[in-house]
Amino acid sequence: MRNKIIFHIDMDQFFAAIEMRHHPHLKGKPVVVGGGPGDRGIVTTASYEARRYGLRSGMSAYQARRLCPQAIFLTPNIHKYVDISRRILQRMREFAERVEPTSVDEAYLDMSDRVQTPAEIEQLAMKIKRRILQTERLIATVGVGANRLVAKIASGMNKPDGFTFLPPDRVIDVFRDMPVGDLHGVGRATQAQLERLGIRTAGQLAAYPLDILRRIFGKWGEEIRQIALGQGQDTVMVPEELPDEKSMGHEHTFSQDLSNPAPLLGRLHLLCERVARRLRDADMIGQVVTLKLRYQGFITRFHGRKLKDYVQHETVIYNVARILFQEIYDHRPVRLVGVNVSNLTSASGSGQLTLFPTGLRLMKISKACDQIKDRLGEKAIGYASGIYDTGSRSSSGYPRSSHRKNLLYRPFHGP
Amino acid sequence: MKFTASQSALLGGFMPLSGVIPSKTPLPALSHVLAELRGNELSLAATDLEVSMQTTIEVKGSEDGKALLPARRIIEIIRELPDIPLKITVDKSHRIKIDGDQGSYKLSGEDVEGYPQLPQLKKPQVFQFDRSKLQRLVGKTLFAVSHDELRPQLTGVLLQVKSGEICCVSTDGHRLVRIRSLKVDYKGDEQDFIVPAKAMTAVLRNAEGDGPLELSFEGTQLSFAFGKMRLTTRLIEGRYPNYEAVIPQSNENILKLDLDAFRSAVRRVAIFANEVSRQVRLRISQESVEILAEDVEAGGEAQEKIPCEYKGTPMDIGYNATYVLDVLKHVDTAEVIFELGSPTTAGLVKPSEQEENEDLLMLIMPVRLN
Repeated sequence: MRNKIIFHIDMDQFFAAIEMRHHPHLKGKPVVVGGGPGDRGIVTTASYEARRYGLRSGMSAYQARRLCPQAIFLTPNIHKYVDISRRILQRMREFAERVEPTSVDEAYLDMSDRVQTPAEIEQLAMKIKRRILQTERLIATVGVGANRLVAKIASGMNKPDGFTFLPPDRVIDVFRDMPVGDLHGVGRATQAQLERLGIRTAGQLAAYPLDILRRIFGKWGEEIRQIALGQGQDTVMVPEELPDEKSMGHEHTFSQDLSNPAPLLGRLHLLCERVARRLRDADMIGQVVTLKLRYQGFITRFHGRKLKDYVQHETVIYNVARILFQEIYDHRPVRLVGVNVSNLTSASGSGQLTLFPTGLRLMKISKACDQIKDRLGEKAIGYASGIYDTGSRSSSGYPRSSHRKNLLYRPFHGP
Repeated sequence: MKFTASQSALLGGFMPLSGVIPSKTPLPALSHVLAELRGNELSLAATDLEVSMQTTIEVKGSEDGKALLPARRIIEIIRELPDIPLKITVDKSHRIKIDGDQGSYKLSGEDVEGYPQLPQLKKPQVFQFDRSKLQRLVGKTLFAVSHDELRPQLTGVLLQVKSGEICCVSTDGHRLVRIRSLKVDYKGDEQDFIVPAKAMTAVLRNAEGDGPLELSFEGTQLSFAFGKMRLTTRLIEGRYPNYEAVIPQSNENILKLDLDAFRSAVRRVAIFANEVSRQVRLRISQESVEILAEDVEAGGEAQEKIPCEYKGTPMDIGYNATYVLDVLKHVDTAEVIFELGSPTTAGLVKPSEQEENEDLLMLIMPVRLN
């Protein structure tokens, strides 16, 4: 059987690169995207210059400032990054039918049908890199392998502006001396446990008796050994094939705890809009709406309701969310607000049809807005209540790297 | 306050009020009946602040007065007594004493001061209708009212009066009923009221019988007066959805079925339907309708075939069996007619023959079949 050819395309220092593109004077300087007033936030991206000082994504802004006092902190402009990400994905789709974004700044492409020889692979990788550079003035690194795991390892080997192809016969060599901690999925806890067994490299892990790994780690033991052998999933899924999501939600942490409910409701409306947009994109409807409120002092409250009818439109989601809010809000300052729609089902699947679906006109308006946003950006058009939006002064609207994935309104459809 | 009345007269006065008294209330006074004696006329009233009901009964009065009587216990004891004269006394400290043949019963009332003011319409607009007619309209529509607090307008019955016509509409978004009583003696302006289901239930239970029913309206209050009873309700504010727009005008597939045969078949087959979706499939062809249900989780399935008359394209259409049975309950003819469009659009259900001066139309949204 022919080997699969999987490309992993990783945008180099994505947020920082976008900011530097917009503000050329930042080039060559330690730039941090994230943080916020009062050191509340965290680092979402550090430029390569900042990384030299030991700054990493996920680090608290406070720690980052201590390590590199001269670092320039920028407020993330999430909408901008998402827009650019969508455009880059469109570029990638010019080269491959099967493109699976796994985050706002990386994607897997299945190129098995297009290229086979190392020369063809390199030529195509360069072409994609050039296309992204020409259209977006951003630099990408490409890693290629027979499966996703190898492709990702390959892209990580030669950054920035790199290209690495790891053919199957080189995988063992490369993995032999790789620290186990670098393996995808091996966290600090697993690493420590492995080191106690004397396993420091992927090569050692691959050679370790499987039954002992099984005894210690259970099924996970088998999986990490496979990873150490460079074996992994080689399918790239298009949005339609991705497993259905169980729920869709968004949340926002305010840069200052809010005592006034008006801007809070404005933000809630905005979050409902985003959830509704994702539901529409995925052609899903949901039956349970849950509100999340976090008060000062990290006291978190969830309050949800199962509705009689399935919902999709932001107006309906917001109406429910607002009632839920009124039912639990106790006038304490609010740190975070979030909304989630669950019990999802396909909008065009089976189910009780309703006489008064959310106005067809409203639906048309929303779909038109979606198209405008696809073309001109997430902030191009919106409800007036969004003017209460307190801005994204805080990075924490989007603080953890796991949220990057949420930014992709999966499944992605072009306009 | 002191009076004597027969057990049956008292029960007839108190019982209807029990439908209005709230089961749980932060205001203890509301779980009482307000009683006022003037000469030989005892007026009784109850309210939940939204719907209030007043009635009068004839008694043999001996001392006028006003009192708050705990509704539940008074009704319980009166109901348990035989039809004998009962002497009721309420003293200044709100102690109530009921004397009958066999013995006496004492309980505590409350001070009338704590009772809310009952709504009084000062200069209402007044219309008169036939009591039994209105009661029939309410009876046909109440079942389809929504219980969804998120859409308050749908939790009421839309009552429309227009020249020569009175019309009631209800819907929960999945089914809809519209019943019009035609050739009604009314020539005024068109008026729309969204009446809470609780008030309509009280009308349905108590407006039985012949005679006129007086409808008075002022601001956000609507009042129904019939016999010795007056029921006043706060109207549900807001706009009722444009129901006319969802009634299909050109459903060309006409299905005629024997009501009893169809109803019993659906009942049997529905036992095997999924408990949550209650989905049954109607496979309609020229001569017969096959009714199918299947519950994959429970491993049950059922199929029945009944003859029909059908003019139209053969189709499979899914319905929630509960909705079908609810609708069939309100068809009074031996045959029922379904006017269908497509498997995903609203179907009309009508009796095979309309009552004189009446137009009844019911509508069910199908379940999309997978």
